Amino acid sequence: MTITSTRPWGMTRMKPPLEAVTLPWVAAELDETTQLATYRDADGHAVDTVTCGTFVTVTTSKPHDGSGNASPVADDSNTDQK
Amino acid sequence: MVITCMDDVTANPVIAASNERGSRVARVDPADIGPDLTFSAQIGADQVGWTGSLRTLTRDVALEDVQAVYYRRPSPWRFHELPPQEREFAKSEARHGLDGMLAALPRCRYVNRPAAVERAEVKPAQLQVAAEVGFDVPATLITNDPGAVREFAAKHAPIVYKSFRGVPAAPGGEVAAIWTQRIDPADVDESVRLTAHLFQAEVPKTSDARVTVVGSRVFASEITALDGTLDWRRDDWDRLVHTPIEVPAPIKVAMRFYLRRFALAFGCFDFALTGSGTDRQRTFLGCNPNGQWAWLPDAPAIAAALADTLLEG
Repeated sequence: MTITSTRPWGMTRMKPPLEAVTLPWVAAELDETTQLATYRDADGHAVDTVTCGTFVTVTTSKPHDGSGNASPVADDSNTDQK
Repeated sequence: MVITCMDDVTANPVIAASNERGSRVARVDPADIGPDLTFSAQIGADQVGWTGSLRTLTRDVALEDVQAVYYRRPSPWRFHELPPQEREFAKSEARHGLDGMLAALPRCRYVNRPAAVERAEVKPAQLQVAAEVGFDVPATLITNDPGAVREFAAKHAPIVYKSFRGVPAAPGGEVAAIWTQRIDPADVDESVRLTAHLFQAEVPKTSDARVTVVGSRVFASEITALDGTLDWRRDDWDRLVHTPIEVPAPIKVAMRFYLRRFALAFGCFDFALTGSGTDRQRTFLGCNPNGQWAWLPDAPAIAAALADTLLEG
């Protein structure tokens, strides 16, 4: 038997691409003493990642390869990206 | 040692809690290997455990002194400047030589061991162990046979489809999601034959429970989606209501057995809740061995429990 489709059925259940999430910071730096990452917005102000719920509450995040803002991936369904 | 990327905001509270407990923390992203991350380690001759050093831009760590590793979300390997074959070689050598080294440190506690996470992420293994430790598991079919899907649907409708993993990025970098969703068996066609597919009887749930287990500590929230979405992860997060809930002792025992079977110190369990009061049923949906937890109301306590588990076991 030949299968004419080249797209596995599961992919027909896919939702349209997720919108790119703009991170609330443009720069991240590591504090040498505490080893905490600190984040700054375009104006150089520190971003409070604990209370800026918009970022920690999403289950999606950009592929964290340092490639800048990008489409997010669903964190609780990891892709085999590594 | 906290193994994660710079953009991982969730590692911060665990690092802060570890600092408060007087430990010296090194935040390490193995993908930095190169001038920004140099390591060298030896074993054999008179050495029975790996000894050596790992140097980042801000820390110089003696590998034999590492007592605990919190393995979170390291970046994917980069090597963008290398040609394709060289890049693949560099990646696999780094995966074995550096990641492998950091996973094999002697006398070191891990939350979690990457190999344990890898095993525990596989859904057929999750469902097998869940059934063995006594959780209610929904009727589940994994197949590439469309006829089997139709038969399963005839018996268990309504049914849902779940992918095992996320969708790989499209060539342009766009990422799409496949959320858990109810399906019409009439839509199932021959393209099911191309690969493995997972179908499950839909649980007529009224809400979900996310139970985060850290060592022997249990943090449980009931999650109610105001618009009744099947998969709360797709919901608008402002419209989710979190309520602290008690976890019955038999469920706690089953979770402990489950985590022990996979050699995990940390796991995020998802249950579908049906019924209420004494009739409440909890159906196992999955356990993410590296799940997110920072959005939960219990986040500060979870961070503290992670630090305690890392430092004391």
